[in-house]
Amino acid sequence: MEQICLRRIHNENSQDIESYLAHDGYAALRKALTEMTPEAVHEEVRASNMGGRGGAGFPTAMKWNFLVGARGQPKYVLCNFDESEPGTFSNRIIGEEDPHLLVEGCLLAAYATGCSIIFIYIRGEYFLAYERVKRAIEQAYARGLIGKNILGTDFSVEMHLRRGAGAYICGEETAIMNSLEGKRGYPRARPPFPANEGLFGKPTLINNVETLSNLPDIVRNGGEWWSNLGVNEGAGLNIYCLSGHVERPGAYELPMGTTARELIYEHGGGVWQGRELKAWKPGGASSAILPADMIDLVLDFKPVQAAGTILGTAGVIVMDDRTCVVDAAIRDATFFEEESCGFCFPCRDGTRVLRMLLDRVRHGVATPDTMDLIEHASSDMMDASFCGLGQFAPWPVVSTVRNFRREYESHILERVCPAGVCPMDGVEPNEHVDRRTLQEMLVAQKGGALA
Amino acid sequence: MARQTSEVESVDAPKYAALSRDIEECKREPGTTLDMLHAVQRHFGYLEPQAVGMVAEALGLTKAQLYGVATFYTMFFFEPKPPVIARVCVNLSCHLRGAQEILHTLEEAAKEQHDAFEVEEVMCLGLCEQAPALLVNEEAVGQVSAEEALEKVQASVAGSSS
Ligand SMILES: Cc1cc2nc3c(=O)[nH]c(=O)nc-3n(C[C@H](O)[C@H](O)[C@H](O)COP(=O)(O)O)c2cc1C
Ligand code: SF4
Ligand code: FES
Repeated sequence: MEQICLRRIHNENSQDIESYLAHDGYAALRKALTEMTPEAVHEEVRASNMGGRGGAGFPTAMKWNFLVGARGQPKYVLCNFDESEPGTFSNRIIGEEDPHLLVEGCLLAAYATGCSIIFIYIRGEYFLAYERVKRAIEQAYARGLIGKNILGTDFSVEMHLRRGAGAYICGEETAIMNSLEGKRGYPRARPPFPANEGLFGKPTLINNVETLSNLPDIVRNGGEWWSNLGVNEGAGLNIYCLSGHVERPGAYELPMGTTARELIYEHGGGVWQGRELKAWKPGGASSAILPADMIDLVLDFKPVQAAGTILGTAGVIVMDDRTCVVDAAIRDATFFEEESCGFCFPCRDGTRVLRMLLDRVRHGVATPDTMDLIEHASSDMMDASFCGLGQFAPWPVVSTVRNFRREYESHILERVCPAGVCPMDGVEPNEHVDRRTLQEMLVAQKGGALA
Repeated sequence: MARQTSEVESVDAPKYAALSRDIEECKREPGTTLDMLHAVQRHFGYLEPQAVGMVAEALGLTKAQLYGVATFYTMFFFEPKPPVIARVCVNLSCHLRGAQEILHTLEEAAKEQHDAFEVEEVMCLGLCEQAPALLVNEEAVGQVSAEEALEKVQASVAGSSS
């Protein structure tokens, strides 16, 4: 099967420039710089119909248009290597095993959009990937592939690698800029958009690692070739990250448009230990928890959106029939409570309220109106949160209420966890929190006061 | 008292000197605030106040401003830590594969060994295909039982004290 981003990862010393050069490495850069105008590169990306792999699926070529039209110098490429969405690890594998692919992709993006400075912002916990990308950049500099007059042309560019320090929100496209500028990683208001006023106030192109890593093949083989690799109307290949209760967890680079059934059963070897599928998620923590009967869903941006959730980072998480969906939902709820940056109150308070409500369900002390409270809190957060974190944070929770209602009723009304997972001990779990605070938050939620 | 302080300072003098060099190198490029703070933590194991002061000065910030930035990020420590830190992921993919057992086993062992190492509950480490996963200092450890995870940590503790 055709592979792009993961094609070289099993080669010996795949992270080394010699190995990369021996397998078409930097051939696309040479082709672009010596045979193609920046517009011609842009045109191939347009023909590829690629949607960004960072989560939103925004058409890459269209984002590039904004940059080309933006005024101000210098212009920056900012490679988003913050990868922190639970269930997602494709960027890490590229960075660890094929860092030159990413370097080449960054250079092509800079060439096509007229940028002269490239920053790669990598999450702090990716120690090995950091070392490998750092070395790749040094090797490329030493070969004259980065720097002044690359390959003897008048294209010059610098590249810098920067580390984050533990904050999921710094993957958001404006928070990452604040972080890189040495500030707390709060998101910025938009407009102005990054393409006009981004990093250090200058026009900035922000793209995900996987998005950029597809560029060398698009340039070498053409956008149309790339586009045709998809199925079910999907464009290109996509790395699906498969984890949870599945026999063979891993990164699978497959045609965009592959169904969840094919991914989990044909590629992933089916549910762990031959058990039954109970629930699954299509795109990391920010996506809904879906029932087993939606397994034929086509995993592409549009079809998943039509089904009411998001493909996001394509981090597919599998849950078998021993799983309790309340217990699963509270893991995601805890993640968002921990990672909410606290800048706006619908998200700061809402993520806490959702986690507390779920905790009560788990302990068998939830009141009968709990499902309504979850619906209220969720819709307020979706409407009023300042950035994507708070807007998507309720989905894993509210989707379980909708898709697995019977299970909530059992926890709440009968005080029984059908899977036998939850403590159900009748102990109020939020005792350490000021009771009044929780009560006030709940009242505020109920009255829609958050919106 | 005064003598003790100067002894401590002389022990740490090479660290401050090394940090100084790192700061100089970082200062040549834009966007290196977090890298400087990482350098402090690399040399001292945490954000040692005097060293933070050096970074603040280099950036033209007050210490309070710099602490305001540093406290946003979970990887920075504000007090000395044991030489080994186990960061255990507790998010969904790892939870489904036994993260709680690892966490429990490591926490018990840390207590028994009077905090010879520290256990931290962390959010997804991007190692989900290797769930349950943890970081033992900078090393990624995955697809392990609670016992194997503990062995890894113990080996690291033994290595750090020799
Ligand atoms: C809370 C939050 C976290 C995000 N984290 C990441 C991330 O770690 N990596 C990433 O590429 N995009 C992340 N994104 C999406 C980025 O904002 C942005 O859309 C993306 O980097 C654009 O790249 P693309 O067009 O190539 O997909 C995040 C968005 C939000 C709201
Ligand atoms: S929605 Fe959440 S993460 Fe985003 S700005 Fe508000 S508090 Fe911060
Ligand atoms: S969920 Fe544990 S590493 Fe991703």
